[in-house]
Amino acid sequence: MTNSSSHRPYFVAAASIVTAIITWAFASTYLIPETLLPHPFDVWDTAVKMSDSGLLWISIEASVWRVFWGWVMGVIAGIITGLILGELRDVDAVIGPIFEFLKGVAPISLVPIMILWFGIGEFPKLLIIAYITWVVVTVSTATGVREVPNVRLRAARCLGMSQLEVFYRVILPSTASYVLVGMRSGIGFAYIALISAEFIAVDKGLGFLIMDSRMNLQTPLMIVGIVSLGLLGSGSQFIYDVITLHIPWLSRFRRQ
Amino acid sequence: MENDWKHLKVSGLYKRFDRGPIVLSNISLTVERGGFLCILGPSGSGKSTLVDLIAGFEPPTEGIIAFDDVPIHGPGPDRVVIFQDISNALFPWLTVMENAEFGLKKIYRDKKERTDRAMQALELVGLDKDTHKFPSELSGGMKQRAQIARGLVMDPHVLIMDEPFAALDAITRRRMQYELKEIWERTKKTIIFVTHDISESLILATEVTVLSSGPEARILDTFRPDLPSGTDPADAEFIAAYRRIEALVGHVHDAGESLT
Amino acid sequence: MRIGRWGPLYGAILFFVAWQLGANSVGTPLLFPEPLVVWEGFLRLAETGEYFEHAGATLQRLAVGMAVGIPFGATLGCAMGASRDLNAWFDPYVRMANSTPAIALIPFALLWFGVTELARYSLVFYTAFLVLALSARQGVGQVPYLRIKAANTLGVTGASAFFRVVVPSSFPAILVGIRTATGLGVMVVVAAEMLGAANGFGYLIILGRQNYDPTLIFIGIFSLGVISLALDRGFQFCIERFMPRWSVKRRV
Repeated sequence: MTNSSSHRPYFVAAASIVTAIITWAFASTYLIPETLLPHPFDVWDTAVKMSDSGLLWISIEASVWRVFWGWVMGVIAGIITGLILGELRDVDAVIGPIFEFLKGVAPISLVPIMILWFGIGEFPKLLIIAYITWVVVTVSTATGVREVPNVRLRAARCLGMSQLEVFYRVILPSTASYVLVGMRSGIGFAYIALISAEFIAVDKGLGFLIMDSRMNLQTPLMIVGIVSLGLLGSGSQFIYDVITLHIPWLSRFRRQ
Repeated sequence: MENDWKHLKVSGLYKRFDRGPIVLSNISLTVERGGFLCILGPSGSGKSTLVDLIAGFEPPTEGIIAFDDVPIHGPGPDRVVIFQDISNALFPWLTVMENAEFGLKKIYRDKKERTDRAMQALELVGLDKDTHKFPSELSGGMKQRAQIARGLVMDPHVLIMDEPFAALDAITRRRMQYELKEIWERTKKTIIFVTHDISESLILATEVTVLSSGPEARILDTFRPDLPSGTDPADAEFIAAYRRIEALVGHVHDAGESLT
Repeated sequence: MRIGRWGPLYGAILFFVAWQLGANSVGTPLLFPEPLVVWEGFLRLAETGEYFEHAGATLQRLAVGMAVGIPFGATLGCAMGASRDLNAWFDPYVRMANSTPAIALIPFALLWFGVTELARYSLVFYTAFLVLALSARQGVGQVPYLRIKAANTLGVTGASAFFRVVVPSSFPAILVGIRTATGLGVMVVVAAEMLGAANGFGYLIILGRQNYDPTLIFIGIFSLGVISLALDRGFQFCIERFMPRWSVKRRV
């Protein structure tokens, strides 16, 4: 494999992106009205203006704060309930099906009820984000506990471990890799919940920005908002990966 | 547990699960301290059940398992099991050294002492250069050695090995058999080795117990092959012993039972 | 304790009891209606046929979006899995789309298509297309090279091998993709209905909010949960029954 052919995908990708931008510019100028498809330069200008004025950063900060704390709360609650469900088969038999049902309840459908109960503050938004994260992490954690190989539990007993010791020296670490994966999935769903909440409970944040810009037909603003959201979402997962894969004490739990 | 026991005795063992069929029937055997007993039987002969009983994972339906006169109670570090499924038996988030030290945390408070003892066992199995590796970085043979070291470190009365080399390729298996024999000669540990491979049993053991196929597996015969050390599978005595066992198992086969 | 098969029943009972208790503790039906009140509300809607109008609308949007999104997405996914160049070309957009959930694009869709069915269809299409493209690509990538070589030695090579060996081998992954897309699709439909529609369960929820009638909201939420569950189970059942050879339980 020569150097040039192993770099080929990058060239193709670059060509693709350049083509896309050129097509975009052409279409926005000659084919599609400004309100629907603004010119790339307009979008860039808007982005710069929003950054300078601080609007972009305020929105990002509001959104990040919500999604982070909601996610953290959901993860903690999820690990606890997941461990309980995984360990206690009887509890799982009864409550497991409820979870199956809850998985199908889209977070956005809960926003109006949350607002009705708790008003338009940070709390209902955090609650919804925490809720969906909780469901996802619980399911992963419970699966993780169930998947601990029987052999491993027996090996630990042979080495003199009591039931309690088996739990925190073998079951917990064995579950850790599932928990870490669940937490990562939780990030994606947390962002969906964030947007859901920000669309309806209008306030500040990226969701609000996107929604509001539609009312005022400020399409470049909308695009900047959407792209920022996307970058934020994938950026969050990227940071998560960096932390869990590169901190040795954590990365060892992602080994199987 | 007493430290000057002489025999591990299994007497009149019967095992059935709930109201199912009888898996093991009237099993009696004696393991001398320092001996190498091989339990030989085809698949489905209840070998694993016998391991579970001796190890203490399951209680017998009838019968006694005891060190001299002291019956066993549940699993413990006096009877460590080496499992066949090495990927799942080792702890993947711990290094080789940490795996080896795992059982020592309760017994020795001093870190250095734990590390020294673990290191001794790891040297014995030849993993002293790989102590910082994770199981996912080891080959099949190395993983099994790590498991053996982890067991030896507990200084058990008996090491129970449940078809430990069955998942390895033939060449690695031969090497492991050879090394196990050396480890046994050096440590004088009592070993119960379960397998379906007749050659393996003759290469390793001082005493062989042959189980019939299940259900209601019983002991067909127990004998000492008494092969001189360094016997090769091509030697006459080896072949004679092999034939003897084959005849036993073949006898059962004639009676219409399956011999997987 | 042998709970086993009765688990879901006990679970359902526990769920409704907890619901009832929650409603009692709050006291006012204006905030938290009791299960019976919600049930009555549902019956009322069912009598007038309104309920089924909403159900039909929601399901129809889901069906149309998926019917178009699945085949196109799977095709692109297979193509990306087969050709390094194609993959390199489209991957940047796939990644971007992956970080941008359809919900975030609702205002954009409404802008382009107005408050119309097309806007909603396009959002479901977007979701299904993306999920299927990823699943199909992964499915194709997972086909053991050995299997392709086996086909080659039997004289089946190139494009023929692709269509006769690789694509069928990736079916289980595609089926998993359809299942995932259904779940996400329901979420998108709900969101789209809540933000601009005149019928559907999402609309029902918003209506409930506007009229300060939580009963409607609860009916909407509950119906959506039931639909999601029913679709998911139904899909699994159909696979087991009609195409058992593709079920994920068997390793293809």
